[in-house]
Amino acid sequence: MSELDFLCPDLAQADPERGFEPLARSAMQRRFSESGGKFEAQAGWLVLTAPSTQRSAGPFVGDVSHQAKIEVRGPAPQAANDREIVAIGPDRWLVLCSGEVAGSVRASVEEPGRIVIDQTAALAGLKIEGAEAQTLMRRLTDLDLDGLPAVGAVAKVPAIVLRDGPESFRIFVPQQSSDYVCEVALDAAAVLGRGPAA
Amino acid sequence: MSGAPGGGIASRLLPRKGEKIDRTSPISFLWSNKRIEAFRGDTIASALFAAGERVFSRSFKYHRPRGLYCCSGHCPNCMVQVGRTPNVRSCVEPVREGMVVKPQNVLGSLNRDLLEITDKVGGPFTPVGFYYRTMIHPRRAWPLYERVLRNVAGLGRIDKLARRAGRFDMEHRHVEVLVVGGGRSGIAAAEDAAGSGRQVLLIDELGVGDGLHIPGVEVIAPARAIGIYEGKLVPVDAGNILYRIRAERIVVATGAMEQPLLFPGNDLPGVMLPMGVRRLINDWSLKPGDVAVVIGAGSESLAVADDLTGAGVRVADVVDLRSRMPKLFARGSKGRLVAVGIDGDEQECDLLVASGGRQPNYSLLAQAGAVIEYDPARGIFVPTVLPDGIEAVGSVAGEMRRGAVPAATLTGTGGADKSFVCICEDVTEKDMKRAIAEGFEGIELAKRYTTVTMGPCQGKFCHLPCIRMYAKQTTTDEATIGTTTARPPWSPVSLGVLAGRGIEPTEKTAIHHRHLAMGATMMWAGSWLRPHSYGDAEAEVKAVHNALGLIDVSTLGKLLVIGPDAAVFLERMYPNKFADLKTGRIRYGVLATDGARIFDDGTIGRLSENVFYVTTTSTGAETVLEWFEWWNAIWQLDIEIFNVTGALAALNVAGPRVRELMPRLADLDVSNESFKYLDLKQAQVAGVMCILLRIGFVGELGYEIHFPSPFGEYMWDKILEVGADLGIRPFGVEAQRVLRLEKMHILAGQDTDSESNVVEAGMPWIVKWDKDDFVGKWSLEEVQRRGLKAKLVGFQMAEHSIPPEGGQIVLDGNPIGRVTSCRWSEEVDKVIGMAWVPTALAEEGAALSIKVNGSLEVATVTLKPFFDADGRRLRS
Repeated sequence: MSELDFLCPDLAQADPERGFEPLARSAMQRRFSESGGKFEAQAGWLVLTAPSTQRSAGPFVGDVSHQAKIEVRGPAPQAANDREIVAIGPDRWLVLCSGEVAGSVRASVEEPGRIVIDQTAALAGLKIEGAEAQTLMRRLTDLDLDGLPAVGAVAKVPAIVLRDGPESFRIFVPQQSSDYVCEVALDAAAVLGRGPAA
Repeated sequence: MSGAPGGGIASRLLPRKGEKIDRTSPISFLWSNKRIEAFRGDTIASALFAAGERVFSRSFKYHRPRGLYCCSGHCPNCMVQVGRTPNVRSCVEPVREGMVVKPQNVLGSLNRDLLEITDKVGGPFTPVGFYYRTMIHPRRAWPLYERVLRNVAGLGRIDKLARRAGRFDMEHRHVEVLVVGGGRSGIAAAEDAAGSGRQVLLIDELGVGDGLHIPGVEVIAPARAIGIYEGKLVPVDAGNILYRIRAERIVVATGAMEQPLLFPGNDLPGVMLPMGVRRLINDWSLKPGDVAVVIGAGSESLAVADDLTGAGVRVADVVDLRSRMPKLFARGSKGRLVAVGIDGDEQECDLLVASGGRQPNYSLLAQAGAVIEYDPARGIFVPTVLPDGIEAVGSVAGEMRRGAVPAATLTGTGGADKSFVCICEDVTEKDMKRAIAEGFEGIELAKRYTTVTMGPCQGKFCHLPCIRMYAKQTTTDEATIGTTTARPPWSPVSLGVLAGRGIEPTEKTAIHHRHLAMGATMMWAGSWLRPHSYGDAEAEVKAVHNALGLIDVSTLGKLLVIGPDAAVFLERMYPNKFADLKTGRIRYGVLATDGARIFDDGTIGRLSENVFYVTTTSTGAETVLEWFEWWNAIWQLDIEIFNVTGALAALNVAGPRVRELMPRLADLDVSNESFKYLDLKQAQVAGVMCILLRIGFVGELGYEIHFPSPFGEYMWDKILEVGADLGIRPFGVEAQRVLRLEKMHILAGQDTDSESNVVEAGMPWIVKWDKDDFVGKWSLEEVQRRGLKAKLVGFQMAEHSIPPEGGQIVLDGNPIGRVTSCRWSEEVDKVIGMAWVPTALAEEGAALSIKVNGSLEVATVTLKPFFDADGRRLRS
C-alpha cells in the first residue's frame, strides 16, 4: 500500500455484505441529470451515456470526468497505447487513461526521479464537440485553439485544454469549479443551439 | 409625409440599383408613440427620414435641434433611446418589428424642447467651464447644482431599475492577420494576405459583411475596433459580442474621415457631410433635400453633387474650396436650415453638403504607439512610424490626393449663430478662444477644460478643427500644437458589451447538492459555498456535544509536500518543529509572514518519511501554495508541492458516540491506545481509501475523513445512514463556529488580522526559539524585545447581550480593544467570545466594558477554553 493511495478513486472496493458499494460521480452529474442526461455505472463511476437534449445543431457539452488523470513530475513518461501524455509544464505531465487501467498506468510511470500523483478526483473533464464547438470554446477561453494542448483559463478557472479534432475538445478543470464551468458552457452552448451531451 | 410602407412619398426614391432595403419586407415600429413604416434593410434613422423627420436629437448643452450628419454611426446627432437602451445611433441601428424608439435629452418634444432656452438666453451665463466658477458657492449647494446639471445636460438616461438590456457574449480569437476596415485598401490587404496562405480576419464597421466574400478571409461586420492594446490585442464591438482578437499582424485600413467646416450655424439640421448624403441616396434611396449647396475641398467631396442631381435634388451652388475660400454661414428657421450665406450672398436651400477634406483615421495606430506627424503640404496629420507588426494601408496611411483644408475650417464669419468646434459636447469656437484666453494654451489642457474631443465621436469630427483653431489663435502651427493622446475606446461601447455575461467562478464541494436537498442555508466562504446551517444551528451544536455531528469540511485547503527536503522546508516555513514529527502523527501549524503576521493556519500530518499532508483554511489554499512556492524558489530545496484541495472531500464526524460509529464503517481499531489524538491513518472507510485525522476543531472526540471527492455524496449518505440510530445529524458552519469558540480555537482572519502574531495571539508555545531560523523569527524576536502590547483572550458576558464582531472594548471612554468573535453557547450557558485587549487586562477574571448597541456591558476575561478546558473529552 502506498502512502498516497487515498488519492486513487480506482482503489475503492465494494463490500455488498456490509452495504458498501462506492460509486464515483462527477461534480457535474447533477447538472446533467437535471437536464435529462442518462448515466450508467461503469467501472466504479456513474458515466454519462445519453445526451440530455437532442437538438440538431450546435455544440455538445459532455462529461468525461471518469477518465483517469495521473500527474507526473520528472522525466517524461513513456508513451503507450493505453494512455495519452500531455505536457502541462516543465517536467510536468498529465497522463490520461481509462479508469480501468489507472492502477497499471500509475505503476508503469513510477520510477526513481519521478513523483506520481493520481489527480483523477481533482480534475473534472468536459467534452465539447460538434458543430460550432470551436465557437463555443472561443467564448470560454482565450487560449489559442490551434496551439492545444495548453494550460490556461476556461471561464476564469484554471484548466488544461486538449483538442481532439477540428470541432472536438476536452477541458479539465478543478472539480470544485466544474459545476460552475459546466453551467457557463451550457449557457454559451444554448445560444449556439445545443445543450449537454454524452 | 408618412403613409406608404417605408416612408414618406416625398423622401423615398424609386427603386435604385444597389439599394440596401427590401421593399417586399415591410417593418413597423414606434417612434414617440407614432407608428413608422419601414423596409427591411432600413436603419431607424433612414426610416424616420423617409417618414419626414428631420430633427433627430437635441444637443448636449444648448439643446439645439440636430439632424442627420454623417449617417455612419460616428456623430451624436442621431442618438435615440431604443427600448431601455439610451444613446443608440439610429443611423446604423437596423429597424426591428415592434421596436419602441424615443428621443432623448428633451423636455417636451424634439421640435419644441423647453430646454432650448439655454441656447436662446443662457449663452452669456454658460460659457465653457462655467460650473467651475459659478457653482462653487455655497459649497453645500453643489449636490443640488450637480443634480440640475445632470438633468439638463447630457445624453440619454440610464434606467436605474433596468437589468441587462440583452445578452452579451465575449469571444476570443487568434489570427495571423487582422484587417481593420473593409474599404478598398482593406479588402486588397486581406486578399493579399489570404493569397499568401495566411489566416485572415477582416472587420468593418458598416454592414459590408453581408455582401463581402473574399476567398480565404473571414469577415465580421458590422463591428468596430475599440482600440489596440499591448500584445496586439484588439477588442471589437460587434453589437452583442465583444471579440477579443489577438493577431500576429494588424493591418489598419480605417480610411479617412471627412472633416466639418467651421462656420456659424454649422450644426443646423440640413447641414451634412458628403458621406451622409451618399448613404441616404445610395443605401436607402432617400432624397436628402430639395435644394442643395455643395461645398468641398476635392473631387471626392464635390462628386456628391452628381449623386444629388441623380436623386432629383436641385443643386443651387457648388463651391470648390481649392479655388476660393468664401466667408460662410448657415441660417436656420424653426430649427431647420433655410439658407446659406456665401461671401455675403444668401442662397435659399434646405441642404448644405459641406466638407473640409479628409483626415486619416489614425487613432487606432496612435493607440498602438505609432508616431503621428503633421503634413503641412496636405494639411493633415499622418502616421509616420508604425510599431512592429502593425501596418497602415490606404487613406489612413495618408495615401490620398488631398487632405483637409486648413483655411476653410477657420473661415466662418458673417452670421450671428454659434459656430461649433465640437457638436458632441456643444463646444463653440468662442469657447475655445476663451479657454486660450484663460491660459489653457496646450491642447491636452484644453481638452480637459472644454471637453472637446471627449464626446461620443471621440474626436473624429472635432480634433483637427480644434488643433487648427489653436494653431491660429496662438500664432503657431498645427505641428507645434500636436495631437491629444489617443486612448480607447475609439468608438463608444456599451457597458453591457464590456461586461459580457457577468460570470463569477464559484466553488462547490462534492456534497453541495446533498446540502441543498437537506434544506441547508448556504453561505459564502471565499469563493466556496458552504452550509451555514440546516435550519437549527443550536440543535446541531447539541448533537455534537451529546451524540454525533457530521460536517462537510471539504473546503479545507490540502497540500502535499513531497521530497527529501520536505521536513526541512516545513521547519523553515512554520515556527514549530516538523523534523521530529513521526510518521502517522499530526501537528498544528500557524503560517506567518516575514513580519510574523499570522495569515493562515492548519494541520501538518506526516504520511511517510518524505511525504507531508498540509491543510490550510478554506480560503487559504492558493495563498499558501503560492507562499510555499515563492519561498522554495529562493531555497531550491528538493521538494514538490501539490495542491490536492479539490481531489479530496473531507468530513468531520464528531461527538461522544463516534467510537460506536467508526467500526461500522471501517475495519479500524479506534481505541484511544491505537488511534491517539493527533494520529493520522490511511484506511478503507465504507470501501473507499481514506486518510483519517484525529483532530478536534469542534472540541469533541472526532475524526476528519479525507477521501477522493467523487465519493462525496456516497460517503455523506453512508455515514448518515449507519449513524442514524446513534443520533447523528449534519451541522453547518454556524454550529462549528460556536463549538470552536467554546474551545477557544482561533479562526485565522477572523480572530487575527494583519497585525496579529502568534505570541500575542496566545500561542507562544508554538514557537520553537531554538530553531536556527523560520519565516518571521526575527520579527517575533522583535516582538519579544519590545514587549507584548495586546493579547487575544476569551471573555464571557455578564448578561445575555451579544456584542457585534468588531465591537469596541472601552476603558475610560476610550476604545482599547475589539471583539473578534462572539456567540451564545447553550453548553456554557453564557455569551462567550474572543477579543484583543491590552496586556494589562489579559488576566483571568479581569473586567471588560464592551459596547453593545451604544451602551457599555460588563464582561469577564477567560484565559482557558470555555468547554472541556483540560481537553479530557477531546483526548479520551
